[in-house]
Amino acid sequence: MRSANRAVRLKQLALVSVCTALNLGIGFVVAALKLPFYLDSIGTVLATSLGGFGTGLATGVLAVLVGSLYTPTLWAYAPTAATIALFVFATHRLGYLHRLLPTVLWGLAMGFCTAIVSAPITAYVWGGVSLSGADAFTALFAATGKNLANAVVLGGLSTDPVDKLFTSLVAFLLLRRVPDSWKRLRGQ
Amino acid sequence: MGSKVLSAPGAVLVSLLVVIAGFFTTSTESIVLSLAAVALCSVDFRVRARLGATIRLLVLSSCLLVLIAAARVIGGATAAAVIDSSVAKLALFARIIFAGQVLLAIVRPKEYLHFLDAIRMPRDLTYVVLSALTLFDYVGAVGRRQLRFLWLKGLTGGTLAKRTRAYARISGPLVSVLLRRQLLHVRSLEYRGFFDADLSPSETQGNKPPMGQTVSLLALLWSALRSAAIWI
Repeated sequence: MRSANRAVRLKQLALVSVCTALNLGIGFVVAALKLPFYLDSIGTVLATSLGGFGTGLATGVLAVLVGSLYTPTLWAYAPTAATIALFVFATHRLGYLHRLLPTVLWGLAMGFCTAIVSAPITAYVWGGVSLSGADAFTALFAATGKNLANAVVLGGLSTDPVDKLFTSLVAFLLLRRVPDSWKRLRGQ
Repeated sequence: MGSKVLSAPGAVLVSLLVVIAGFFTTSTESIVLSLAAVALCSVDFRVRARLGATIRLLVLSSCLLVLIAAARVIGGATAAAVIDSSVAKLALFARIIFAGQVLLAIVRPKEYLHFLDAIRMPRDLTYVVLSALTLFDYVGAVGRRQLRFLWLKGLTGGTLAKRTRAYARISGPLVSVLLRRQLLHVRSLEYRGFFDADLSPSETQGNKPPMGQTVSLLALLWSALRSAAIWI
C-alpha cells in the first residue's frame, strides 16, 4: 500500500514539473508559429484533469512564480491560475474535457471567469499593463474614454474567452494522446 | 540556464550594496541603486548573453506602457499623472527584469538546490521548482526541434488553420516524451535518496557552493520582492 502511494506521489511530482514547464515553454512554440493567442495555462488544465485540484493548483502557481523571471508581471496572477485549477476541477465531472461541446462551452465560461479575476490585478497592481496581447484591447477601450478599470475588464473579456477556448481544445486533444497509466492517477 | 558561477568576494559586495540600498534609501533611490548594482553584477560576471533578452523585455514593456498612457490621455485622463505612473511602473519592470535575467544567467540548478535546501524548503517543492526551471529550456529545445522537422516538411506556413494543425501535431509527442522522461528522472532521484528524510537533498547532489552564491541569490530575490512591495 505504502509503495503504491509512493508511486502515485512520484507520478504527481513528475506531472507538476512537466505541466509547469508546458505552461512556460509552450509560449515559445506558439510565438514561433505566430498564433494570435498565448495558451499559457494548458499545463494547469492538464494537471488538474489528470491529477486533481491540488496538482493543478501547484502547477498553476508554480508556473506563474517561475515565469516571473521572464515576464515580471506574472507572479501577481497566481489567483487567476488558482481559478483555472478550481474551474477545471469543478467542471471536469460535468463533461469538460470528456466531450467536445461541453469543452467548448466550459472553455468560453472559463475565459469569462479568468478575465474577471485578472482585471483587478491588471488595473490596480500593474496600472493596466499585463505585458500580453490584451494590452492592445485595453488601450483601445481606454482611448474611447472608459476609465482604466473598465478598459481592463473589457480588454480581458475580448481576449480571454478565445484564449481559454483554444487552451481547452488543445488540452482536450492532448488528453487523448496521454498514456492511459497517467489517466488513472486522479482516482488513486 | 547559464553556466557561470559567482565568485565569492565580488558577489557578496554587490549583493550587500543591493541590500543596503533597499534598507536605507527612499524607494526611487533604492530602485536606481539596485539597478546599478545588478547591472554591475551583469558586467562583472559576463552575462552579456542575457542582455538581448533583457533589452527585448524592456522595450516591450516600454512600448506597452506608452501605448496605455497615450490611450488614457486620448480618453481624457490628466497627462502628468499618467506619465508619472508609467515612469514608476517602467522602473519597477526594469528592476524585476534585470534581477530575473541576472538570476537566470549566473545561477545553475545545483546552486538553486543548495539555496532551497538552506531555507528548509520541503523536498517535493524543491524538486518541482528545480525540474520546472530545467525542463523549461528542454521544452523549448524539443519544441524547436519538432518545429524544424515540420518546417523541413513544409508544414509551418500557410493559413491559421494549417499552422494550428501543425501545432497540434507536435504537442502530442512533446507531452508523451516529457512525461516519460520526467517519470524516469523522478524515480532515479527517489533511488538516490532525494526524497528521504535522513538525507538533505543537496547531500545527494555533491558539494555545497561558496557562501557568496547563496548571499547573492538571496539579495537578488530580495531586491525583486522588495521592489514589488514598494510599488504595491
